Amino acid sequence: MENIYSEEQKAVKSVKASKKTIDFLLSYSKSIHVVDYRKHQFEVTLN
Amino acid sequence: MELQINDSILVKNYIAGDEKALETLINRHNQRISSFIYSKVLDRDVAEDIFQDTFIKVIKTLKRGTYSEEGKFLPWVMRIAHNLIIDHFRKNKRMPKFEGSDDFNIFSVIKDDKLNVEKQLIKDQIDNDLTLLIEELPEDQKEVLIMRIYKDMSFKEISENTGVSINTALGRMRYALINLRKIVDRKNIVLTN
Repeated sequence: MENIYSEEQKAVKSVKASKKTIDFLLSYSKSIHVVDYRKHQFEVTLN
Repeated sequence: MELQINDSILVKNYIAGDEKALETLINRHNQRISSFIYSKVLDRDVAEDIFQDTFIKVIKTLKRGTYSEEGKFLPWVMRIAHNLIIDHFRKNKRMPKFEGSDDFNIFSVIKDDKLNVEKQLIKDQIDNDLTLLIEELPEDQKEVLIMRIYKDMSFKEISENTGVSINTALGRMRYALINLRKIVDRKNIVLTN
């Protein structure tokens, strides 16, 4: 019988970023504002 | 059936101030981006950190208005993640860390040469005992032994300093050691370390 030489494909583990990380990103997004002043841009982060 | 708004519209809405659009984008691509990062770094915590840094860059770029919409949101985010993964490996190469495993501990190979307190005490005791024993030797043998052992002089130097031949100095050293052993045996002294 013919041998099959192809390697078994490695299983890619499916992972997801945690809710904590996503909540942090959403809060970060809400807190950051970019202010344009003349030719400059300033990032303002609200606490 | 839920209508799926495409990424371009969500990006536009987000830039226009719709924070909910970002949540949709993150949730939509979370698994794909996280799995991509994890497949490279193979560490859940590092993957989580890189995912977070990726979206911080995404948020900043979108808020600054420097993102050019070409209908390629996901490839763009993947490119940012890819660059951050490279940064991560570069940083680790500069500062490699070594972690011992259960079956190998680096401290079993590298150790402190200094004696521990107990061994140091024993060594001091032996040194003291030997000093007392040497005092019992005849003067000529004691002189040669001290010069050779404590002052680290060669037999040539000893012969020059004592005015005897090298052979005589060698003979005195030999008798000094023989006599020391005899004293140790006679007095039942145990000198071990």
